[in-house]
Amino acid sequence: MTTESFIAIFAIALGTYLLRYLPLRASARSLHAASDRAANLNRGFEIAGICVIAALFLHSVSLPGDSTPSIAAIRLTVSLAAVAATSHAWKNPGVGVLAGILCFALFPLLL
Amino acid sequence: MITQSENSARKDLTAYFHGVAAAYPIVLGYLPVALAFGIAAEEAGLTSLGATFTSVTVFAGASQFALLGLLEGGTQIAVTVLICLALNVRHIVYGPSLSARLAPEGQKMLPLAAFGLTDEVFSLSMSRIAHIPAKRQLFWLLGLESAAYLTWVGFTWAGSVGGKLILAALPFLETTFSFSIPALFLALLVVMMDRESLVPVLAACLASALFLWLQQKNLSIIAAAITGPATWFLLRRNP
Repeated sequence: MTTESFIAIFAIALGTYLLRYLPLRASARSLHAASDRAANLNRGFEIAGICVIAALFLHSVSLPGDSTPSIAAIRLTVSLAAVAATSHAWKNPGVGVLAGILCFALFPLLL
Repeated sequence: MITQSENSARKDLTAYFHGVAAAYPIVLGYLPVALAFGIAAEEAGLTSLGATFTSVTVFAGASQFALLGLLEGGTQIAVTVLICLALNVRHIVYGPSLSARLAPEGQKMLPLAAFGLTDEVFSLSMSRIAHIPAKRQLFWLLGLESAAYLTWVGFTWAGSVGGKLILAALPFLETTFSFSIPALFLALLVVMMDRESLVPVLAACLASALFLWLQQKNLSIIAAAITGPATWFLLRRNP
């Protein structure tokens, strides 16, 4: 690893940390004021968080490349449906993920 | 005789380990990605030490992969740093969103907790942290982050020293566990969404999909973070 690589990694690490820490610090101070405005802001940020998770989901979803596109699409749809159904039923995302992975792993054995 | 401070410390430790235990969906998701990063870093000539150092200090998947490509391509250091930081700009919205669910207690540990606020840690903590007693929330969050961090760093190292051998021996690992990240986000979305957030989330998805279609991946997250709450504010004004 060259000195230049080391400097780049260090600068990215520092910048990433500040991108995470500074907004957290600033909002932790301001959001706990007892007012309607703060309550609205709180809920607005909560909604923003849920929307970011929806966007991250769209980012991450892709067809598995180890089968034909149509079978891969069915496998993905069935597994995501299993995730949604179990998460909704148990109100626990961990159970949903495990059920989904199980479904995704076992699906090729059914064909 | 157990003093009050000992009892409190024990509860903090219990909350920490509850956080560690709650991290298993993230661990499943990080495993193949960290292995892949270790392999890619080794191939990019970063060495095992360099790969592990990157994961230890940066702890942000997308920008770490981008860093490899940029270093390999001989891009200027300043440009490399700016591009990688641009990829992480979405982290700006995580702090305020999480703060809305955090009790004011335990603010002293915010600098430590901020380090581990990745996409997956943020998402999982958003769904669970409100159910943790106020005084223990940051200990729980640190437990969650520790498990995610150790998985990320440990499997980066494993990937850089023997990742190709691991994936050759267990080829199903890469495909199967690659599903765990979208599964995690969907599961969190199902648990967190309520009637009030349904329309804003749909609007955010449309905005995000538009930017994805335009090949602007990073902007798509920022667009979702702006469109969703804006829709919510508009709906509140004009019900």
